[in-house]
Amino acid sequence: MAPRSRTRRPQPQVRRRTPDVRRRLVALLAVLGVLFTVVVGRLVMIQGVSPDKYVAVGESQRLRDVVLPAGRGAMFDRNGRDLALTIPQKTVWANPHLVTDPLAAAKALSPVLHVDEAVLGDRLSRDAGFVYLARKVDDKVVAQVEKLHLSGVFFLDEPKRFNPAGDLAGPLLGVVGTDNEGLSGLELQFEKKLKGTPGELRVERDPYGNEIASGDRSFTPAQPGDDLVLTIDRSLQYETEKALSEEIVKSNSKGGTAIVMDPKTGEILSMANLTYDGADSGKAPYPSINNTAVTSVYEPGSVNKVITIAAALEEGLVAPDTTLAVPDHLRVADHVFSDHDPHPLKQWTVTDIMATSSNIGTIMIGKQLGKTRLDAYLRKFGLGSKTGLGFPGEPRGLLLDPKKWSGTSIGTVPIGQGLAVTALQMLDAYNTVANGGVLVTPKLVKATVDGEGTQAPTPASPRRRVVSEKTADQVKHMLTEVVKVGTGTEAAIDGYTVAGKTGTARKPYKGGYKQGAYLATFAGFVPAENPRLSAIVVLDEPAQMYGGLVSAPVFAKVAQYGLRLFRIPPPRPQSTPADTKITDPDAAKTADVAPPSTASTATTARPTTTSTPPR
Amino acid sequence: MAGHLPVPEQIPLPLPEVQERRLRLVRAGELSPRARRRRNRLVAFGVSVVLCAGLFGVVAFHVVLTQGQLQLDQLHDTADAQQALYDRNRLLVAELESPERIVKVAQERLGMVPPPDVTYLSPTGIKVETRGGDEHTATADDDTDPTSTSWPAVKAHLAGSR
Repeated sequence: MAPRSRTRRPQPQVRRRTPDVRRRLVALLAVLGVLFTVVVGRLVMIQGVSPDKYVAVGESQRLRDVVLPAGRGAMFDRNGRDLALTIPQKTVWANPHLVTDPLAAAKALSPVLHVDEAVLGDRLSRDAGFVYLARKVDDKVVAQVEKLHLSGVFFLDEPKRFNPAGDLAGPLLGVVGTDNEGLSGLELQFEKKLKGTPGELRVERDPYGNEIASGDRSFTPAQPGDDLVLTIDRSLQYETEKALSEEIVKSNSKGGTAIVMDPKTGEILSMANLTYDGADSGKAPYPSINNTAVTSVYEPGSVNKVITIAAALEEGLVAPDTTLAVPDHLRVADHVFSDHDPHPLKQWTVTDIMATSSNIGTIMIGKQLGKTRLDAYLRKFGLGSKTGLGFPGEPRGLLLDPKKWSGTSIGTVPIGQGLAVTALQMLDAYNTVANGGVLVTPKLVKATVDGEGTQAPTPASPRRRVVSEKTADQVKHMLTEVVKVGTGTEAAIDGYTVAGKTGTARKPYKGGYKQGAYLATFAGFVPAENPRLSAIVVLDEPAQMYGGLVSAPVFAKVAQYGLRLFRIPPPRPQSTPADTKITDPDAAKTADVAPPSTASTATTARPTTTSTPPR
Repeated sequence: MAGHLPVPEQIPLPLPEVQERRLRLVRAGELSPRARRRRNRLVAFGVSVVLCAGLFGVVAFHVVLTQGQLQLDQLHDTADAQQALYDRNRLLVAELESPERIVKVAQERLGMVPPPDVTYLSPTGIKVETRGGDEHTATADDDTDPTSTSWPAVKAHLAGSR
């Protein structure tokens, strides 16, 4: 028996498989190596090179920032009564992705939200996660929407601005936009103070949107805007608007402006601006779009004579009892100016000239003064520059450089033509007289109140001397004569001495003057002995054009109310200084009610380019 | 045929196992292996208990924290609701106080009419000396600024409310 060989026969399969497996293993290793390298590379990219991006993505999924709107500061009148305040209101919004039937939802919401069904349908069908349906709706609407039980329709709080007194002082307070940003008036002027600083709440939420109690949380509280305590008195503001409105309707004016101030402090106590569309419109006068008392300029007319005469007195050119021979017309360059009423040559004192509002007398004084000094005094009284109130849209007014004056300018400027002022600028000039020659910058904000309730009074208004106290007193006495026996008798208040001046100016129109269109003004202060209230009333195109007839009564009404409101008793009766007494009261009384038809250039020998300046 | 037989392989006999005896010095107080095992079990048990207690504590702390957060949220919601209510009431009061509304109610609901003329009775003014030496007429509000007197009463309940 042959011995069994211990060596096995070679097995070809095994020999073939061994190197193949090795190759495959190597290949697999290589593939795994590549994949591993890719993974490692990616990890390096994510963790090392650009981690911030992915951290941000992660945070955006977990963390939610909620902007906390800052409460807009309120506005109060000087007694702490609300004039403008912000209240949270509900805004209706939707997530269209969650709305099951957009068209049905739109149909149901349309009559409740008062939004067109097609508009709502379009919004609810958008490929978006958030759409507004109606912003800042009242509670009744919210309740109605809730009753509909619509999926995907939600509410959020948004602050809304309210003026609880309605349109009262509307042009002064201004308006805010949809997002509560100031657009006009004080809302715009004090936007930075009122709006505050929004806060932020950052919370970590789970996938279901619930806040994770121990998660990341940061809270930056909103800083509410400051409240403003205005110098306005709500009651006086109402009375001012009421009196102005009544006179506008009575005189069928296009509108009117009235300002009441405390001349000592420069505080504006009320400021009314009304527009009237005429009796045919069937509407009562309504608040103007702009605060025209500060933002619109007009030719002041005769109220400007106060500055001319104050300047001449200050320069020592005339005294209150200086007598001038005043004709009823006067040629200046190529223009003949005339007084309102024809009269023979009059021996009038300066006080007479003021009381009768004589154009010729004032021009004669203006000519003595000269254009350089006259211009300097106009500017010293605040004309041609902003008042310092800082109100949005306030103009400087228009004062022509004396170098550019025409030959007739020395005739027009002294009587308030050829220049343009705001009503506030002109009232400032009268306040200067009331304050013994010191001009006080007007102010509208008495104090600010921060979120903690701390009240910070605004600094006292800057003041500067314009004319001496003696000059101011002399002018003051002249102005009392205007009201006692001159053109402003309608401004008189029983028991009080009123000082003031009337003005009737033509409205400029296309390089000339609008035929039959006048602005009637009365500016003055009370009590004359110790002025506590000053006011200016301007009526736009009244049927009766004289300031003494239409504006002076409004002054009297408003001032009388103000005197009671601020409990200002009448002063002890004082005799008028002899040197300022009017010498021709009858002439003044007659002039006050003279028919407008007498105002013409009939006395001029040749045609002139401008018509006779009215009183 | 006589063959040549292979020599049988000699298989070595296994050596008898000799158990090595390891001897060492035993320190005084050293635990026996059994005692050591018991101690290890006790330690393991203790660690487990501490871990469980710790975990329970963490969970309990989390629950307390969550409850606190919920309470805080509820308080915030209540404060917001009360603030909103206050704001609405403030607006309502301001609207009710507005001069226009009062006049409207007086005229339309109560039938009141404005008098055709108002006559005021005015006392003669009393002259007083001011610090500057100049005379002026005393008034009720000479020494009292309307803002400074009435404001705190109004603002007191507004302060810090927003």
